[in-house]
Formats: sequence, C-alpha cells, structure tokens
Amino acid sequence: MSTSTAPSKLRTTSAPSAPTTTATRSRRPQRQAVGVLLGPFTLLLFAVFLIPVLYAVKLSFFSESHTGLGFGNAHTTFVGLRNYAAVLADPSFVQGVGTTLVYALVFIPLVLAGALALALLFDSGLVRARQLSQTVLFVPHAVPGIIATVIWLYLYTPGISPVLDLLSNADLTVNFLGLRMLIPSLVNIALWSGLGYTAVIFFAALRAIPRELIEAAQVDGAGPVRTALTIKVPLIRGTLSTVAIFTTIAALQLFTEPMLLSRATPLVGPRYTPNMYIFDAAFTRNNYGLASAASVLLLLVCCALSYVVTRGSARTARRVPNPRKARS
Amino acid sequence: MTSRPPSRRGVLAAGLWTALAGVGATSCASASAGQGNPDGPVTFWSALRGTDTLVAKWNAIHPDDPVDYSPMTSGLAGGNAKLSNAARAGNAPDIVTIVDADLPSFAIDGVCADITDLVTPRLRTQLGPQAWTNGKLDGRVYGIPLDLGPMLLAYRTDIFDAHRIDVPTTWEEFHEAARKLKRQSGIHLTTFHPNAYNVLAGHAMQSGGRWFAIEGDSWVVDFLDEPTRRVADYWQKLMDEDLLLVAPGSSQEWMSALARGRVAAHMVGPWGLAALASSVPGTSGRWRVAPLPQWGTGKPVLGTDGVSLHAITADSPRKERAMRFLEWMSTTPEAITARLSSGRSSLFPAAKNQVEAASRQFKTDFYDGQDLYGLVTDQARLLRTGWTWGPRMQATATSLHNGLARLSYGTKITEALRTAQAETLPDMRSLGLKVRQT
Repeated sequence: MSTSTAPSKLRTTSAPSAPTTTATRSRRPQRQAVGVLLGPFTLLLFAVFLIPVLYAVKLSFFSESHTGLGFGNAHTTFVGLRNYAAVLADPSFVQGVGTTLVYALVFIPLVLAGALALALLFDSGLVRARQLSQTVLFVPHAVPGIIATVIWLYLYTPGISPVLDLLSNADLTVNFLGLRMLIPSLVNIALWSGLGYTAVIFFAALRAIPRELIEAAQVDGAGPVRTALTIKVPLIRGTLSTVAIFTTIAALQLFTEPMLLSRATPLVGPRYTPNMYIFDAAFTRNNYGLASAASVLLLLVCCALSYVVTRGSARTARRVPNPRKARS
Repeated sequence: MTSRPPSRRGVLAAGLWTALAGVGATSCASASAGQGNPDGPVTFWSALRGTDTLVAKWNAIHPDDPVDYSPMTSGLAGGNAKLSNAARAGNAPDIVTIVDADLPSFAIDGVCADITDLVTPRLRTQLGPQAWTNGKLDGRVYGIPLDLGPMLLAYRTDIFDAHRIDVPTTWEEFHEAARKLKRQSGIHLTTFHPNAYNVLAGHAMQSGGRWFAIEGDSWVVDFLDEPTRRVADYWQKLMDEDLLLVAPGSSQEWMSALARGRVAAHMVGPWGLAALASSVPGTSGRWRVAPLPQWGTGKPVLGTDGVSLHAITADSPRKERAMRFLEWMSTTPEAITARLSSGRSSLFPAAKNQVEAASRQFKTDFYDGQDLYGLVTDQARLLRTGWTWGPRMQATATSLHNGLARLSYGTKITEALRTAQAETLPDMRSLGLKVRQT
C-alpha cells in the first residue's frame, strides 16, 4: 500500500461538507507515514553519524598528554589544535592526500565517462541481450571490496597469476605491484567493481527521459550520437553530478583495496591514504586524538567538496531549461 | 515511467526498523573481565617459543603460586595492538614479553610499570650493564632483560674456501671480500633486508649512532647523525656496486638464494642462528659463525639485534609475585633448561649462570660443531650500552621499511632514514613530548 498517495486520494474524494474532520483524519496517517519513513533515518543519522562526529571532534581537541620524556605521567588534557597541527605537519598524511588526489583524478573521469558511454549504448538499443549484459556488468558490484581485491591480488601476483603467465609467454612483463603501477592497479580494481553499478544508475536516468523529446530530435534529423550528446546527456546532468559527488567521496575514503595491497607489497605503507593514516594512528600508534583530528579534516574536505559540486551543478542546471517543467 | 509495486515502501520501512533493532540489540553486550583478586594466579602472555615448558616447570615446583600462560602473536604481527587494547580495557596480564624496541612505547602509554624498586640486588648483578641498558629508560627499570643479542656474522665455509676468501674482521675487508666473491662467482656476500630496521639500527649502534637520545627532559631525535650516515653510505655503496642481494628477511626469494648458495653470509643476533639452521637444513655443516666486522682499529664494539624483555603491567595487583617468577625465570639454570628443552632455540641468556645450561640445549651440527655459546659470551662483552629506542618505534619501523622498500626504485638509505624521522616527529609532538632535532 502506497502510504504517500493515500492522503491525496482522500482529499480529492472527500465531500466539501465536512472539511475539518477529513483534514484531521487525513493528517494522522500522513504523520504516521512521516514517522515511519523518517524515524529510522533520523535515529541512524544521530546514532551512527552526528553523535560519532561530535565525539570525534571532541576527541580531536583532547589528547593522552605527557610532559617531558613522558614516562608514567599520562593524563588526558585539552590540547587545542595541537593534534591538527601534528596531522598537517606529518609528511605521510600530506603524501597520502596527494596519492588519493592522483587516484581520484584518474578514477573519477574514467568511471563517469565509461559508465555514461555504456548507459548510452544500452539506451540506444544497439546492445543485444541488454538485460543480460547489464547483469553481467552489475555483478562485480555485488562482490564485496575485500573479495574483489583478493581476486585481483591473485591476478597481480607474479608466479601464481594466470594473466601474468600468459603475458610472459608473449614476452611481456608487467609488474602490477611495482611503484609506477600501484595507482593504475588500484583504479583497475575500482573500475571493475564500480563501472556496472554507475552505468545502471545512468541508464535508469536515461529511461526517465520523455520519449517524445528523443523522437522529436530524430524527426528533426539528429543522428544517434548527436541525440545522445546534445539531448540525453544534458537531461541527466543532475544524476551525473550526484554520482560525481558520491564517487568523489568514495575515492577520498579509499581504504580496503590499498589496505589489502599493503599485505602484498611493502611499497604500499600503512599510511598510504588518509583513511589508512587514520586507521594506523588509532590502532598501531594508539593516538586517538591524532586519528580524530585526521578524521575531522577528511570529513571537512568531503563536506566542502560536496558543497562545491552541488552548487556548481545547481548553477548549470539553472542555465539549462528543464524540459519537463516547460511541458507542464 | 515508474511502475513500482506498491508494497515496496512498506517493506523498506519494515526492513529499516528491523535493521535498527538489530543494531540496538548487539550494542549492549559487553562483559568486563577485570583483573581478579591479588591472590589469583599470575597471568603471563608471551610470543616466545619454549614459554609453555618454562611455565610448566615453575608450576611443577610451585603448585601454591601458579602462573597462567597464554600464547600471543609477536608484536608487529598484532601482539602489540592486542596488549594495548587489553591494557585500555583493564584486562592486561600481569607479565608480558615485549621486544626491546617496543619498551618506550609501552612505558609512555602506562602499560608497563616502573619496577625499579622490585629489582633485587641479586637480580641486578646477575644480569649486568649490557642487559640492563635494554630494560631501562631514563635510569628507571621497565623491563627485565631475558637475553643478549650481539650481532654476529654467519658464513658459508665451503664458499669462502672455494674462492679463497678470509673471514673479514673490518668493514673495509668485508667490502673487499664482497667485491672478490662477486667478481669470481657472481655470488652475493650477504643480503640487505629492506624490512629489517633492527639490523640497520644494529649497525648504527655499533658505529656509535644515536637515533633517539634523552637529554634532560627532552627527546633528541637524529636518524642521520655522523655515525649512522657512515653506515648508510657504506651499505648504499655496496648496493650500488651490486654486491648485495636485496630481498626481504624471511622472504621466499632470500630463502631460496640461501639454499642454492647464491648468498654466502648472514648477519644476525644469537637467536637467529637456530632460525637459520631450520630455514636451510640442506646446507647443514657448511656454516660457521664469526664476530661481526669492526669499523677500524679502535676498541671493538657491537650492536644488538632484537632481544626480549619481560614487563609487569601497571595495573597488576600481583607485582611482587610476578617479580618472584621473573627472577626465577631470568636467573636459574633450571628455568633456561626448561625454556630451551625443545632444542630449537639458540637464545643467549643475559644471566651469567644460565649460559652453561643454555649451551647444552642447542646442538651445533649445523655450524660444524662450533662452540657458539663460547663465542657469543666473548662477543656479548663488546655490546654497546646507552642506546635508546623511540617512543613509537613500531610506527617508525614501518615508516623506515616503507622507505627502504623503494631502494630498488632509486631511493637512498639516507632518504629513507630522513623520511622516517620526519614521520616520527608529528606523533611525538601530538603526544605532548618534548622533542628536539639536532
């Protein structure tokens, strides 16, 4: 039973003789619906987001502090911005941010362009057995990141990898775990698991485009490529920017894949990305203040980026006239 | 075009609430173990081989004062994290085995108790200054030293003989021998392990380096002092001339090179001699052990490679009884006999009156029947005192390993040391420690 449509039906069918009673009667299920729908979200928002964030902010200003040499005089004190200063002065943190940015700059354009191209192909009807190929593309997303990385590690490791064996038979030697190949190897894993998922989101957005618009374009003589680039892509701009935010935030929080790679090659250190830095600070260096400060910094960067992307896309959306609004 | 089945939202809502209920139910299920009463058994965590037979021996002769032993994984493999978490949660054991390099970290975090006042005069004289330098920080005792770790040079007699190479006594001769061996046969004299900060630190100790020093109430950090720089430049030169195999310690690559005789020597503390023997059993009888080469003609001196300490935790209500066990363990021949009874350990005890008993447990067939404990007794007298490890040594070590892993991509040892120092300082500063760089 669709709860949100029920009140509107009530309102349209109710007689004008008793407006007040029907209004109160119709508001109660509405409130219930709001409670049912927003309750879990609000509870979770507080329990697993707002309260932990506030706790992390608090932790980041305190530290298990010592004086002088530090033997046997530990006490928790307010230390102001000391943890933040330490994080920003740590070359390994700064380097981790750099690594993540390089990764993001390679990965995000690839996944967005690749997924968009795939979605447009599906939408154009050029692909045979569309549902099957979509499913095949989507399946890697169902594989948890850890498992995916283990699979790829197996394919990357010399001596056990059938792919590397084949390549070496063709006199090609590629060291996927070498210094220059680390980021391409990571991007490859992320693309494998993320491409199909993103393509499905784009495809759903493309399906929502009114068909008459596309038919009109065809009547006006636009070919499939031109229709795709000048009609379809601008119409799903909103979806594109939303996916761009999510992908960017996910890229900034890169953790699972490099964490597993660090077991396979010492070139990936325990502080390879900001998230790994936080994990290392908390659980090998026992420095919860430092870990919290780094977490808060990462959160601020993610929030700022989301804001910038949302504002940017809102501005471009305003420039492009919304055809659906124009129709109604 | 949306044609969803109408029940979707209801299902979703129900699912969310169910998930939420699950979160709530699991979040409040933690029991506190607690430390128990002061009269309970002394609890003991250790990653050291032979601890089981050692504790069994104690329990056999002291049934009224039992020790309860649990094995743990070694520090870098997760043992350190386990101990820290247990100490935070208030259920750390009374006694724990730690590596010398991790002592400052646990002392600063308040995991290890200051046990200076519990050390009896007898224990103090039994162990000697070379051992105590590993267990003391700023003049106070935080750990009871178990063994001594003078670095030694194990070498293949057959390879040395076949290429007429004399056992080098100085690093100059060592360099010459490496050149000669490489030129004649292509065999590498020894291996550089990019994952062994302890070996690099051992060389720095020998040459008089000081990575961490305590001056007044301040830490002084310098990974590139003149002696360390000399060590780094020396090994860099050997590497640049392609005289060393660069391979991680305990890696398949290194093991196979050892087994095939592509590497002729190995530098390690006494404990590593048994490990070497069990790693490459096929080369048995073709190895001997010599003193590590020295830097010049001055007074010979040696660095330490990985020794163990036993600490009593700060919250332990059984410190006196724990100390009684530790004194027995560290000084009596029966204790070392029980510990080494498996015959697979070449640990060199710090207490003088345990050495003879220890020497009877390790068969030296692998080393052509050589009197190893006699050699190590002499070498241990040359151990340098006054080296201090840093307060976050595990993080410093992984940082250094990360830099050294890039050696084959053109990074220099000095660069790896500089980076490791730069990555160590923020941690110390955020802990509020006073730090100076020279």
